Amino acid sequence: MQPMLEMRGISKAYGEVRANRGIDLTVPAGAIVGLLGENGSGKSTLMKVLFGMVRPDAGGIVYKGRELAAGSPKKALEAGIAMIHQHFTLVEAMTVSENLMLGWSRAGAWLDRAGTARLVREAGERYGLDIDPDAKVERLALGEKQRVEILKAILRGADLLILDEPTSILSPPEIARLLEFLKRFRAEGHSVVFITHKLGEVLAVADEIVVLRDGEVAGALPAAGATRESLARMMVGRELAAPAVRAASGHGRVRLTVENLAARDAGGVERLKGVSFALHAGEVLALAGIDGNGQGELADTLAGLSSASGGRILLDGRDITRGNANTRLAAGIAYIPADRAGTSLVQAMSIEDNLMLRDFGRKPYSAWGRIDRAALRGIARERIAKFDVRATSTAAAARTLSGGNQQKVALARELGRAPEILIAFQPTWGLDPGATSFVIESILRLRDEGGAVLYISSELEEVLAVGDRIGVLHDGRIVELMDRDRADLDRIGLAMAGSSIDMQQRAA
Amino acid sequence: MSAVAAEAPARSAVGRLLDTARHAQPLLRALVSIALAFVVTAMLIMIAGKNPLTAYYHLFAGAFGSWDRIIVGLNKTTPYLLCAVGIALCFRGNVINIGAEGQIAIGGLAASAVALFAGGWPAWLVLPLAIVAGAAGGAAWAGVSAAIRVTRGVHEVLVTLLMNFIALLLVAEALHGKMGEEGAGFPQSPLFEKAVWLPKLLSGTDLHSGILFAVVAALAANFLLWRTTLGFRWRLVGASLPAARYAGVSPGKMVFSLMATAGALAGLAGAIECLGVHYRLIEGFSAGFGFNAVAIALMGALNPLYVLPSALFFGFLETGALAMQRQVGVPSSLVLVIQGLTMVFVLCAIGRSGGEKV
Repeated sequence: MQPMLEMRGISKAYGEVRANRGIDLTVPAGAIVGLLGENGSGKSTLMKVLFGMVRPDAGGIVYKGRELAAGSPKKALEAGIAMIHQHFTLVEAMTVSENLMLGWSRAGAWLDRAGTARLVREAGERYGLDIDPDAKVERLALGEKQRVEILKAILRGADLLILDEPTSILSPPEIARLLEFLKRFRAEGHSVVFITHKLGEVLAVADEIVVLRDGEVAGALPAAGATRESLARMMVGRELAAPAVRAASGHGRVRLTVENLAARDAGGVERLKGVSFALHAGEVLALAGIDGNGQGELADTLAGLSSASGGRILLDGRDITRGNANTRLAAGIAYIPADRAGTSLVQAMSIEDNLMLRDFGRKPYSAWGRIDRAALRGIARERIAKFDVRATSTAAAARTLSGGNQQKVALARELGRAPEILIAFQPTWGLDPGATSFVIESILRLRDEGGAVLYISSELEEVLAVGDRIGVLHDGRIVELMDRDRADLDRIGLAMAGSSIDMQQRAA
Repeated sequence: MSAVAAEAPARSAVGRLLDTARHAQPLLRALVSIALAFVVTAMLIMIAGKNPLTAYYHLFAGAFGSWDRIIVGLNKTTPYLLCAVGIALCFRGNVINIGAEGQIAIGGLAASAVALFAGGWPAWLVLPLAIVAGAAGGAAWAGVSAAIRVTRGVHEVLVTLLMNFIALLLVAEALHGKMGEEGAGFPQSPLFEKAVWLPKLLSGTDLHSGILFAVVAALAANFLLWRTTLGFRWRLVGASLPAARYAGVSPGKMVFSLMATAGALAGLAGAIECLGVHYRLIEGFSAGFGFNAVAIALMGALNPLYVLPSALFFGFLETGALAMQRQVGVPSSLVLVIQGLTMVFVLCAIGRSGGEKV
């Protein structure tokens, strides 16, 4: 039988990053294809190419036997391809029916509210996606909004549905319901591409599984023959070397103790659900994990930028849970946030100002409320030289620097204070290899001098390279914690994909 | 942007000039914008059947033609400069305070109340007290807006705008009641005693010492903004809230301190208007100052030092306007057109320049 979709030799490069390298993807009619891969493996780029949001450098797409024009979401929509993004495209102030009519040519010039509402109810019953057509979207839960998006797609005649990590925002019963819908949709001869990094869900519902890694297809196999172990290994990659043997770090005393720490995100959703660990002097505890599993909340809470909703943080046995950014800083906890563009640096301010960003209230930067520019300039020159920041002047705006040099400014500030404890969150994100190794070497030097480092990254290779102990953060908890010399790649891969919680059971 | 520029057909002369202004320093940018405004207004004057060169000659002569004219210009500049400096600080901290109008009114009201009711006290005490009361009144009035902004989350544009109306009504209420002059036929207070008039800077002229307050305020604000930790906090909150949080700076406190500072400066302006120009409280004495001050602050690139020439420009432009009307018969309201067009061109130039260094 002719497949619904064939993508052949898709390649796409962004500058020097080759996001897709000759990827083939076949989606049979009436099948669910699970697309697996870590962050940055090329899943999103491939789907953007399919949906016409990105024009590929090479390769072609054949949809229902016909060539699909590249680079046109409109053409893709007309052909019957629909994509459900992680961020919804609904008008919050309108009702469900109104959102469906929006930009739908079938709705005509007069709005047929009753007719649309009937369509919503019928489709809802048929697919198990029931929703009140008259409800305002702003009052709906995330899972319900997703249902509206799906209804929008299928009412407009989508034959191929692309779902981009649809379950990350859903509760377990909602996940079960979504998977049930996918099965019904498939039974009608439609096809689905299901993007995820949760192995259990893919095994529960997919017919075919395609694993991407570093922009290439690492494996394509029928779901029937796949196991969690084989998939995890494909995702993580066999060529990934086990961590190099290095001298035991000779753990010092416990500095930071975290007990059952819980925290919510800005929207009030609990993202950190009870994290416990001890951080020793002279060690790097590296936490792996896929983005959005509580990393940001853990880092911000430890650094005092947001408050804990439960649990305790102890520094040398002293409870510091109720503190803010200033008290944590004064206690010797440095923090490199992931967001260079807006948090750890102010792009419009000078390098000098950025270097005193968190220290401006102290001597020698200021006295009696007056900033000592001469002292600041001297410190800035010294730091810039020590951390090899390539800049024309200390008065140049941060935004004139390359990403690597910006991160060096942040490092110069946080490490220049000679901190006892460092929290580094994705410190190498977006940096070239040279800058990456500079950052890692600087952090390891701090460790050798007795500093305690918590290193959080979604780059598994980095975690393995820097960690004296390696943990995995999944769904707001540390699900694995092992010494460097006992690091087991299979176990790490499985834990990252969430297999320690039995997804198949949750999904069923 | 480069793609847009490449696609655009032959650029207009104005567009090219604006592009030049975009890359220039704020001062040059303002000059180019002012020149453009004068050129466009010249066309309007020609349409009205008058010679723009003659009109502009009399505008200039009316502003700078004699010492008297210059003194009028300096006096007009004073409230503009005080208010615009405060607004520039607020905008730097991303607090869009458009409540200067009301803060002037309350400042004038407070200063007048002291001047009128502290009659029995020695004059050397009453005058400083009245000035301080003006600043404190303005600061308190702005503080109410800040409190609503910080505790209730209502946007400061809305709050400060609405507080303006309340302030103006409070002044009217006072003038129709206890502070009004009986039988005056116009809502105004009795004349203050001479001893509490703001001293003249040059005896025998109308030049009052208010301009000194204004220039010192501009210099002090400049120091505060760039050389103190408080100024750094203000700039930080304005540039990036996540970064401010990371640096342990509380945005709420900064909103309060910014509003209080700007309110004190505007209140001082109100006190100076009452004590130095009118020698009484008059209904509507603050009209137009607050909004022009926003324009002046923007034209001065939100930099207290650049606000100085910007305020002088507005002050002298208005001084010359009446002369132009008298001599050439060109309506003085055309000066409002010049002010407006200057603003539009400045904003266009700023808008295209992307982020400035803070």
